[in-house]
Amino acid sequence: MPTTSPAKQIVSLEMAQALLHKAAPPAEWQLTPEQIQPTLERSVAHRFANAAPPDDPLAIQNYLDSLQAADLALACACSDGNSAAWDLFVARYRPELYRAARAIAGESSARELADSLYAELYGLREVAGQRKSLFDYFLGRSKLTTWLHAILAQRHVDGIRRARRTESLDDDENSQNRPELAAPAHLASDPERERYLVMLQAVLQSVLATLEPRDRLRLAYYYAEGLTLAQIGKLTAEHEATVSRKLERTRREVRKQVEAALRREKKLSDAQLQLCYDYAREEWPFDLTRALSARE
Amino acid sequence: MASRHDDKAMAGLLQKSLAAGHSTGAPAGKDCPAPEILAAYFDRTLGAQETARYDLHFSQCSHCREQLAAMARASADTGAEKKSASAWNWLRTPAWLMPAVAAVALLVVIVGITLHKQRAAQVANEVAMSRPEPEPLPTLESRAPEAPTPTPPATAAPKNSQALVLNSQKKSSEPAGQSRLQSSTAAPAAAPAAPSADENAVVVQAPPTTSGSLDVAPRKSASDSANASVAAIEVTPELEAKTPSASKAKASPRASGAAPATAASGSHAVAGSRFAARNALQSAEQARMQQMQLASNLSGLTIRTPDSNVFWLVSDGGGVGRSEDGGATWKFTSLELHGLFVSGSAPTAKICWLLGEHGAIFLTADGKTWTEVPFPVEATDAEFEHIEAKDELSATVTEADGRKFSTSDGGKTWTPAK
Repeated sequence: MPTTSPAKQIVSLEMAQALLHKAAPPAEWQLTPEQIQPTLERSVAHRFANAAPPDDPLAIQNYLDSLQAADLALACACSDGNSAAWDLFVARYRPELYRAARAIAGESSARELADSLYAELYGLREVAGQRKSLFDYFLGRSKLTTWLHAILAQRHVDGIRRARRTESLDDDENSQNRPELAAPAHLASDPERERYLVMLQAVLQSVLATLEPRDRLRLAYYYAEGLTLAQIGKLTAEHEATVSRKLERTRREVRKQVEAALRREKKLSDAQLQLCYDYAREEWPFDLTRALSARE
Repeated sequence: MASRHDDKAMAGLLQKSLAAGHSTGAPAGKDCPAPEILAAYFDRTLGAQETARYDLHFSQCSHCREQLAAMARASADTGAEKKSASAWNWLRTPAWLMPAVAAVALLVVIVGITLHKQRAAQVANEVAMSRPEPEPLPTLESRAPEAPTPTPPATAAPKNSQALVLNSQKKSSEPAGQSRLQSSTAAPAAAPAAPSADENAVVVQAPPTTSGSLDVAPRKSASDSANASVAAIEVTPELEAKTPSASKAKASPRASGAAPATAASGSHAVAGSRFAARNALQSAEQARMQQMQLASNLSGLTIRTPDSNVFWLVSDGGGVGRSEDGGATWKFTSLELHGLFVSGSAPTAKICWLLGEHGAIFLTADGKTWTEVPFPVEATDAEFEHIEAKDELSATVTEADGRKFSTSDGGKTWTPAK
């Protein structure tokens, strides 16, 4: 079972009963308040992990009211091994699970990703003779579908990052026998080139660090993650037109600040500024992050 | 141009800077939230404080951002599949049959009534024509043209779908075949100094291929004659009594040749023919607007102004055309708009407000220079679909959900409106 909860005494059986009433699970699941109470306690403990649990029962009740009661009941019943609940989960969520896996990992890896999760949800793993299901970690703060997407995304990203680390080590070994990335021949003659590029990148980094989190997030979703405006809007709770407008505004602001900083701090003239842009544009394959990390 | 190149360079730098975390392949940190929190963040069920805290974390943590991006892709993909599946559900259920049958029945009834009225008007008209000395209605008589001239039969008009017969009263003797729109490949004609048989010919100009401002060669268009036709329809009483069918009226809006007196052939006939006259009026007006668009070869939104000779025409991607002579000549400009124009409003011949798809609002007060107006920032999730302006300072935009925002200072500030 997940961590024991300090809020053990906080969620009463009446509260659990009220949540069950709201969830209205089918009778064949045979869910009782006693069964669902520990999950609710974990959920409360998780929610108030960084603060003392509120003494006011109303605050707890409000939190419990905000939970996805039906999904939580299904997860509890599945975790307890109720076959009727599992059948419902399979019928309702399995196709969704495979669809989401395809969207996240592509056709080639989707099956493997979804199947591994499916097995963990069913609880093939046993600890001290007890079946352990991934459902124990669902605390009802989101829809069950979104939670499944989050688990799939986590597994997929972790896998990719592990692979990157391996590649990165291989790259490091190979790079020792490889000459330094060189500028194209026609530009190598300018000794200022790398200085300008590094300067521009460093100023840009510092400007990005001063952005509002939401503005930086939008830029990162767009430029680093390659999300569409609609997908970004889903994440930021904004209409895609709004995302587009705000992205444009932030981009303009970043450029303005970068140019101002280069003029003020680096004492660059307009011509030198233009040169920075020209280098940045022409030196597209040049890895600035590599250049930066080499200096740091 | 250099600025655009610099923008590209800046975009590349942003990509490099923001994707820096990806290349490291660093594992999740101890502060990275569990999937439970990511899911709640995605579903927006976290409180404001928690959301702000995780916004800050996600803006600095590429590991979490990658997970959220994967979730967004999964969610969007699933949504699209569900949408596409549900799009065909209506075929599997007979529920659509009832409304469809009702709609067909309603259509049959409407067509029946229309045909009956037109038939009644025709019969009444024939009866009226057979009278030796019909009594004209005084009001109609006073507005009747002095010497109605015969119009070529509608069947004489070319069958080309682009052909619009737009006869003016002055040139009614012109063969119908000459009264048409010619293709853009037609030889350019000099601007005629005096009305001629070719006066009705409109050569559709090639679309502007370059940005900036472009003057289309001046050419006398049929717009004036279209105006004349519309005017004739509006004021000519014989049409009310004579127009036998909407289609005939469309082909030959004036439908002249009937004595004003025939309008007095009974209220039933007048009522019936009014219906046809309205149809003719609408058809002629549609033809006129179509002509405007063909003339400029822009498939966009047409915006009228109080001056019947001045029109605005906007197209995808920010193209804006203005005609001050009823469509004969056009001046095009290009605005920086990424998307479509969704609405426009021109309270005077020179003032025009345009509303773009992504919330861009443009204003001209002199009919020449455009400025982008700040967007009503309060409406962060807004999808505006309509703009209505009173003058260069006052305008109201309407959201898709019905909410409105007004400005009375040329768009500097916007306030919610009723």
